[in-house]
Amino acid sequence: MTDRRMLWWIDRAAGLTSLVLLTVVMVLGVLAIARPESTRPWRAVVQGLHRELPLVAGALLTVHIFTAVIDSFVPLGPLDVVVPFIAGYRPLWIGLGTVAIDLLVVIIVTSLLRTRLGQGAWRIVHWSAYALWPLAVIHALGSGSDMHAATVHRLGLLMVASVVFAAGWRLISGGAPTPARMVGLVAMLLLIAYGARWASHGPLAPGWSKKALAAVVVVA
Amino acid sequence: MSKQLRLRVDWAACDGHGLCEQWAPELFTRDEWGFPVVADGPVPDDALEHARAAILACPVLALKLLPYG
Amino acid sequence: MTAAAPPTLHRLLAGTRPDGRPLSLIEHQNQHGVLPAPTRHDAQDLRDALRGAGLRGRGGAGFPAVRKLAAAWEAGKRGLVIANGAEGEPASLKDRTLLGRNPHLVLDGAQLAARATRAREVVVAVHEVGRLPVVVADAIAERRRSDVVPTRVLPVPARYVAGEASALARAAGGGPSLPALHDEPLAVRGPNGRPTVVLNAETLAGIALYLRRGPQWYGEIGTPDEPGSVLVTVRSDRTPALLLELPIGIPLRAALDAATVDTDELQAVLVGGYFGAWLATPAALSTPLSHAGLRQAGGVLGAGIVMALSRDECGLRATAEAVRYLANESAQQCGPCLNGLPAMATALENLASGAPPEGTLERVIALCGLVTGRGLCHHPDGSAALVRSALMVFAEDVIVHLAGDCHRPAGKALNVPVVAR
Repeated sequence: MTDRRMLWWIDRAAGLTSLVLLTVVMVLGVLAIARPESTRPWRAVVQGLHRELPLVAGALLTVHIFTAVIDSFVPLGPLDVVVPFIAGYRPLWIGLGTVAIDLLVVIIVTSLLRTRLGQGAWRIVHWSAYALWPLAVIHALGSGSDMHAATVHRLGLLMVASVVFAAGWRLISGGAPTPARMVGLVAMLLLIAYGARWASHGPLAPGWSKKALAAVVVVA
Repeated sequence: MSKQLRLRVDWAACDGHGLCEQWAPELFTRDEWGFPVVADGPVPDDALEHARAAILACPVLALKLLPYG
Repeated sequence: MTAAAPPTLHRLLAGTRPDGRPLSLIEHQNQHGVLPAPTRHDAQDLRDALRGAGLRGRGGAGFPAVRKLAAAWEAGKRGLVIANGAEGEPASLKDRTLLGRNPHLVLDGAQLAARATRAREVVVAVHEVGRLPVVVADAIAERRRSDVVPTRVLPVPARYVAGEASALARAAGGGPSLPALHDEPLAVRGPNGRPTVVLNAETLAGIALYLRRGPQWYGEIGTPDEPGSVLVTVRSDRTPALLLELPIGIPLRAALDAATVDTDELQAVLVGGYFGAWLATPAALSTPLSHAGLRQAGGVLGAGIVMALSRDECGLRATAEAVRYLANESAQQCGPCLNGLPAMATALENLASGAPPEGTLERVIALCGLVTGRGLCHHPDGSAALVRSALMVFAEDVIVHLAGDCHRPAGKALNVPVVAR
């Protein structure tokens, strides 16, 4: 394997692994605020993992971004890491990843400063995690090149199913349905339906790499 | 002797998650509905570290250290 | 036997109409004179004049009023004075009567308190039902030109916790009428970040009288440490509810006599309000109606309510009704109160019905400890104190009830609202 291909391989591996970790983090996040019935130490463990894993994911994402930037095969520069949609390669799909990274940084920083910020401000920022994760998935589908492997398919389905289940449970359980929760539930269902349709016609269908190069995508 | 501190619970925010008890079992127990029972009196010096961990662990930031008395 | 009733006073209620219609500003000034004009060092002068006056809060806690004013002044920011006319105690008549018959005396006191702390605003809190919002609003309009500090009326829900100090502070800022967390006293820093002085309507009326007439006149009645008069509501199952203005320190017996309650038939009185304490009669009949006197007897003056229980009524049943009411009136913000008070009410009801399940008495006592000090406000604490006091004073009844019902009714002395939530 040449250096170049190795970089590309590390890039994709780090990206996929961090997506798996972020999926676990999302599920743990929902578990962490469930009303506890038992006092066993697992609550502290769930909370601890939910707080530590994003840092591990962050480290992997640093590798993911670094290898992508230094790899001359794809024209991505340092600026594309923070500013979305200006990349020279698959700008939309890479851009979504950029937005996701920006959100992740803000979420991590605000969480480290939670006591200083206060619960209210922290919580609003933290909710953007529900935007971050879908963006990361769409970024992976749109800019990833491993979508044809069966294992990746299965892994992807498992990840999506677990977050949908966790988020759905969070929206439905816990008392009376508020307008915000109804909206959230409907939005999630629409996103799944639309996303599934797009994925099956787009990244998961042949010929995607040509379509992905377009700056604007028209979803049929 | 440094000034003494006590743990104050924001009872409206507290939802009985119980992380406080896990990080500082010498300072917290829980009642039959899951809400913390804070030990009376000032926080002993050797329990302060656990108290701070409990404060950080609370998912709703219901705990605070305030001057005792 | 009823002795000659003491002359009930007319100081706070001086000049008011028997039919209850409010005095106009002119009528009020004819009776009490005009408010003293602001001096050059108005705030300091007012606070100095009140220092050593021994004027204590009439909202229930009995806190020295001038200390709140001093704390607000020392905070260094211009804040807010809230006149508390939101009388949550179902058995009390004093605040609504005072505000309804002479709102101007209370408003005078509020102006003076605001001047003493350089507050920017006066807010008068009243229950939104009934005539008080209109009566107070009209009175405010009458004096708009002469009032130094802008005043507005704040209608709040007719709920028990709506009259709690931090709930009023929250409502004054546009928030819900629910108690708020405050790590500092409200007088130092309220929910809006500014000093928020909450004073009971009767307390403010007392301040107005004191500053107008001076310590000599004011101290002609009462005790050396607690001068002046106090508004007392007297209730029993058999007599109509009566509001009296009495000299502080007068024995409890005199208040009951003035309300034509037959003291020979009594077994106990609940003094203060639902957060007060039961006192066994006839021993308690000689207790002076003052903060000091009641404290010494193991009771509390509170909101000046005297609820007389006769021997053919059941103190446990009456207390159980009150505790159920208090449980329903919880703000429902805090887990221990929201869960603990209904559990305490149920256990007490089981005890009151006689032959309760095993462990009921222990459960009641345990729950008293479990709810005390574990909430944003003192609602659970006060409820637990009532229960403890009942268990002590009606200890013999407890023993009887463990075997079976005593078959006596609760009676209407506590005036517990019947409507279940």
